[in-house]
Amino acid sequence: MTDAKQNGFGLQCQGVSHWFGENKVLFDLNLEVQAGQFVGLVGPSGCGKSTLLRAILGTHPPHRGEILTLQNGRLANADRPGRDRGIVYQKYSLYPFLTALDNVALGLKLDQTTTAFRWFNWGGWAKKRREFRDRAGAFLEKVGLGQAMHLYPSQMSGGMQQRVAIAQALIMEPEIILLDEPFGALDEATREELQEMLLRLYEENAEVKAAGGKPPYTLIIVTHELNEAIRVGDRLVGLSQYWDWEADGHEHSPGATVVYDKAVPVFRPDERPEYELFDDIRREIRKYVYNPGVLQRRNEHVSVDPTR
Amino acid sequence: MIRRPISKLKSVAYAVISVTLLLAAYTYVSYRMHLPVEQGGNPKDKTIPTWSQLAEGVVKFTRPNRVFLSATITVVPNPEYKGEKEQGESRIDGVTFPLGTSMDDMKSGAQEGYPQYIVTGVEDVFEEWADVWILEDSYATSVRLFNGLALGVLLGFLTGILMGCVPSIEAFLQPPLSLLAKVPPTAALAVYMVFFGTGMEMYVAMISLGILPPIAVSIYLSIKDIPSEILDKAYTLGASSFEVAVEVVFKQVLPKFIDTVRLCIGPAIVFLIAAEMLVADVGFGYRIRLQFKMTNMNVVYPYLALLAGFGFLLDYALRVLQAKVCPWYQKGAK
Repeated sequence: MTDAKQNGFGLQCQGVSHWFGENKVLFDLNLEVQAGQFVGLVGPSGCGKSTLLRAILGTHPPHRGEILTLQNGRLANADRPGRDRGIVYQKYSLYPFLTALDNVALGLKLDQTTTAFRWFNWGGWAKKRREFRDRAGAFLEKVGLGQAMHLYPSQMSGGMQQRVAIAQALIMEPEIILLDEPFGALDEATREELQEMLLRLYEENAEVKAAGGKPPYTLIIVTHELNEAIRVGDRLVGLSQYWDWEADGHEHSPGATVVYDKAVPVFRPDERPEYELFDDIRREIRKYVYNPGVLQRRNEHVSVDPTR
Repeated sequence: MIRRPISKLKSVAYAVISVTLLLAAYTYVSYRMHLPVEQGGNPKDKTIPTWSQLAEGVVKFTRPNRVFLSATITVVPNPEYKGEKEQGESRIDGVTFPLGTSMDDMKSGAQEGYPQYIVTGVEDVFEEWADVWILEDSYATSVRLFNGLALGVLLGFLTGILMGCVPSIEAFLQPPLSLLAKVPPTAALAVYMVFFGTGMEMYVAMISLGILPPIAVSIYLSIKDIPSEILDKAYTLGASSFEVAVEVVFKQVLPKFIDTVRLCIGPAIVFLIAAEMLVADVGFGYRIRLQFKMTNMNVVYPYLALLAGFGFLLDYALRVLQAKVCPWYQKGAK
C-alpha cells in the first residue's frame, strides 16, 4: 500500500462474518472507511450493529474476515482494543472517579507515560501531569466545558458527560472514533447541540483537507435515529439481515451485511436541520434496510466509492 | 406520608430523648434492684450496679493496681565480691522499691540486690504506676486487632483483586474461599490454637482468616460489577492490562473496599474477644471474663461501652478516610 493511499486510510473490513452458535449475525461484510469520513451506521434491531462495532473495537474479533486499521503507522488487524480506535458509549461513558479534566487527561497519561515513570519519577510525572492537564483543559474549553472542568461525572448533565466523553476520545487523535448510540439518552435540544459539535469537527476536516493535510477526525456513528445519521454523516451505511440471500444460493439467512451505502448531503453546523430534506433518503432506507418484505441483491444500493 | 423528611432539630431531639430514656430506664431498674430485702431487692446486688457502683468500677480499672518507687542508684565495684564480676557500671536505672520505703532502706535494699557493687547513693526517686488495667488491656487488644485487621485486609484485598481480574485464579480460589467463609472462626478456635499456639500469631491468624473471605468476595463482586465498557475504553486510551487494574479497577472499587473494611471491624472484634476470653492473660476479653466471674459488672459494663466506642471511632475514621480519598463517591449518587 502506497503512502498516498495510506494517507487517506481510515478502516477496512474484509469479509467479516460472525455468529453465535446457530444465530448468524454478520455475513461477508465489506466496508472501507476513508480518513475524514463521518459514517452513519444504521440498521434494524438485531442486525448486528453492536456486534460489528465490538468487532471493530477489537473486544470481540469476528470469527471470519479481517478488520484492518492503522496501528503505529502500519496496517494491522484490529483484534484487540487499541489507542488507534476511540470509543464513545451511550452509558458508562466516563470514569466516575475522575473529574472532567482528569477524564480527558487520562488518555494522555495512560498513553504517554508508564506506571514505573509515574511511581518512581515523581518530578517528571508532576511536570507531565501539569502539561496533560493544560492540554485537556484547553480541549474542554474548545468543546465549551471550561466551567465544568472540576466536576465529577455524577455532577454533570447527560449532555455534558457526552461532550466530555467525546473530548476524551478526541484528545487521543485516534485514526477512527466509534460512537455507539452516543446521544440516545439525551433530550432533543442537547442532542442537536452535540450534533453541531460533531459537524464543527467535520468543518475542521474540510479545512485541513483543503490545505492538503490528512483530515484529523474519522467517525462511525451508530444510531437508531435516521435523522441523526443523515445530519451528522457524510455517508450512510445500512446494515440489514433483509436481503435477497436466496439469489446468492443460501438456504438459510447467512446474517446481516451492508445493503445500503451512499453519500448523503453535508450540513453546516449553523444550518438548522430541515428534516423534510431527509425524507427521500429516509424513505429509501426504510424500504431497503428496515423492511423485511423488500429484498434486494446485496450490492444494489451500495456505491463503490460513496463520497468521492 | 411515608418517608416525609423531618427537620434537623427534630431528629436531634429524638436522639436525645432516646438516650435519656435508656439512661432513665437503667437508673430505675438498678434502683429497684437495690431496694431493701423486705421490699424484694438486694442492696448488695452487683449485676445491675448503681451509678456510684459503676464509678467505683471505673476507678478500679483506671487506677494503677501497683504503685512503687523507681530510682537510679550510683555504684562502685565491690572489691570483696567473690562471684562473677560485672564491669564498668556506675549508675543503674529503674531499680524498684515498695511504696513508702525510706531512703536508708532503699540504699540497703539496693545493696542486697546488687552485691557485686557498693551502692554509694540513690537518686531520681519517683513513683511509678503499673498495672492500670485499661491501659494494658487497650494496648494488648488494639495491637492484636490492628495486626489481624491489617493482614486480613491486605490478603483479602489482593485475593479479591486477583480473583476479579484473572478468571483462572477466580476458578482456583473459589472452592477454598467459600469453604473458609462457611467456617465460623470462633468455632475453629481450636484449629488456630493447634497451628499457631496461643500468642500473637493465633490472634492475627484468626482475625485475618476470619475477615479475608468477606473482603475478598466483596472486592471480587464489585470488580465483576464494573461495566466492561469502561475497561475496554481504557485500552483504547492506551492502557496496559496492569494499568487497567491499577488506574481503573482499583480506583473504581476503592470506596466499596473501604465500606467492606468498615463492615468487617465488628466481626474482627467478635473473633478477638472470643479468643481472648479463652486464652489471653491480658486484654479486653480476658478482663471481661475475669471480672464477670467475680460478678464485677461495674467493670464489665464500662468495658463494653469502651469497646462500642472504640468500634465507633474506627468506623468513623474509615468514613472520613473514604470521603477524603473518594470524594466522588456519595451514597445515593448515580
